[in-house]
Amino acid sequence: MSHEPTVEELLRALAREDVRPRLAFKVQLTERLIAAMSARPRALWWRPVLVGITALLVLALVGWFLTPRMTTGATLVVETGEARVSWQRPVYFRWTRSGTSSIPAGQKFLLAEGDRVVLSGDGSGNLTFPDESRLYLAGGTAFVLEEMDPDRQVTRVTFTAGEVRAEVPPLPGRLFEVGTGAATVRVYGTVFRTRVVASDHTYSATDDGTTRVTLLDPAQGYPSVDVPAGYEVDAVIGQPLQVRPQAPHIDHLTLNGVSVEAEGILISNQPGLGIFGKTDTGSGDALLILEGRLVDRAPITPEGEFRLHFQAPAEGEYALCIAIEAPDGARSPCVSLSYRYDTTPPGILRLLEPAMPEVSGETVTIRGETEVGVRVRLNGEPIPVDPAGMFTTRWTLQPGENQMTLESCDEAGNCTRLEFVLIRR
Amino acid sequence: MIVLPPARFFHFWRGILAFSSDILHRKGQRATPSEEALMRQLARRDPDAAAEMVREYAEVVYRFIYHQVGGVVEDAEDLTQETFLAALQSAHRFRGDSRLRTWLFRIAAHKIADHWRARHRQPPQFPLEDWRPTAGEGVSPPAFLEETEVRDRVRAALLTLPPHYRTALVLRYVEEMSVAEVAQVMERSPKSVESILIRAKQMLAQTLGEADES
Repeated sequence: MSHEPTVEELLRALAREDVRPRLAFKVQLTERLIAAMSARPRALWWRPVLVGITALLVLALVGWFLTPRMTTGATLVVETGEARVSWQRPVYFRWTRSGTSSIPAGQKFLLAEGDRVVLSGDGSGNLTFPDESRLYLAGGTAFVLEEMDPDRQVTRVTFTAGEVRAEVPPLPGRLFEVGTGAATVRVYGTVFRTRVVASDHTYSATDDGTTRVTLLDPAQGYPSVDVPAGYEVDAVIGQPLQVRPQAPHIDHLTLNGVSVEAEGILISNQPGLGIFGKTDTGSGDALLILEGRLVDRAPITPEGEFRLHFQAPAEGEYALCIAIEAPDGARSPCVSLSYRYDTTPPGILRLLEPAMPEVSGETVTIRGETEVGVRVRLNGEPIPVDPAGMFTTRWTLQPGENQMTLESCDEAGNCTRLEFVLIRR
Repeated sequence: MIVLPPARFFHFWRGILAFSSDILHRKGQRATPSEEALMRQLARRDPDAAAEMVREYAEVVYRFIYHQVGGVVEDAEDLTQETFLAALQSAHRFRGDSRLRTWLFRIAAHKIADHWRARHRQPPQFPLEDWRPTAGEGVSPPAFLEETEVRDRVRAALLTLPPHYRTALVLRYVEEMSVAEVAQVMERSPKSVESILIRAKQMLAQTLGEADES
């Protein structure tokens, strides 16, 4: 009976085998080891360098992810003067870079959140946002771009000085807020103007749509009012908010039905003055007030137009006030108009030269005197008059008799005429 | 929920790690003082230490490798040299947690695995019938020839096994190491080694049986 070897027995057959390395191999192995010992150890300098570079890359990547992203996009355009922009930009993680830039007229600057802008007193400019909202900035305006979040559709600008006119397109859900020390003006698509009168006084007027003005007065519980188009409000800390119509615009004037221009004071020898004006309210009455007394009242058309009439009772100067009265009785500030009714012609017009009517030469010097501030014409040709009322000119005579007409007219159109004859010999 | 203070938390995990290490290496032998001294000399690049190491350990390492590369002398020599060079490079890392022979076998096992990976990932499949007796009828082969034939068959069958099965079998039955020592070489727990041995023997028996049938 033969014994079947087990796996262990078969494996132990290997153990019984006399397996040895060649002697030459052992010698060679020893020499190889000794040679490896004398060889310079492998340069591993690159390991710490690699670890360092990897650590730096990881650090840079993490820092880059943690660096706050600033929203930019509001473009400041300086039209006249100069603007100074104080800015701060994130560079890496919490490291920021800041500076101040002077932006001359005609240049643009891309603003980011937190930027502060001061426009020079003689400057003007505009600020355009990505949604096409636009702020028109007056000289001396100073503001901070507080927030510009396209995700939340919120834009906040805080003014510390100056005046701004805002045009905000009516986008649904879009909040545009202009703040000052005294008030905030919130809009959802409108045109309005805001002026920082003082640190505790802000004026705001709405030209289109509606704005909501909140008085930043904790003592009054932060009251708010809606200001519709054509109305305005003065937000003064410590005083109630009162919405009133805006002062109207005088479109044109007529005297006895003829259009006239007026700069400062309107002077005329015509007693009937027609006043055509415009306002954004589209309701209420237009009032003509003389020394606190109502002279004329006219309803405002739905288009916002009105017509008033004043009949001067006698010669003299009249300080007229044109105002708008809302249906609730609130009255706008006055638009002043000075009107002088004058029917008296200039009292002085004297010919000083030539002294005699007969003249020997072809040309003659005409010299005379009149009142200060009048216009003089000789035979219809205007003659310059000096501030003292004296005038001198040369005139070419025809042979024989020359009929001469000298005319002195004041601003109201009243004229004094002097006619005489010069004879050329 | 139990919240451990930081110091206790640290001691807790250190204990867990120490316990795991103990399971892994329990019953394993530590290096003798002379082995540790030899490795210190080797770490200091002492040529005498290199010569002594070759003198003491070249044969066992060579034999361990030889049986796992199908008895190919060139491969066994190459891998033995690579093992000793690697040992020289890592001499400063020898902590004496195991016998020096065990540590060398561990390096050699890695080198063998690398060797087979480099060679198409699988050891060559030697046809076992080639090792069958070739003597003519009525002629009894000499006894030593039978022994040689058996060894060749077993070596060829070993090459068909997964590398860690082969390593476990060679360590346990050829090098006659204890299960604990085999566990140290293979960096496994003794329990794991025991189950590997059982499966490896079954697979080897099956391979040899199939060869006999063919």
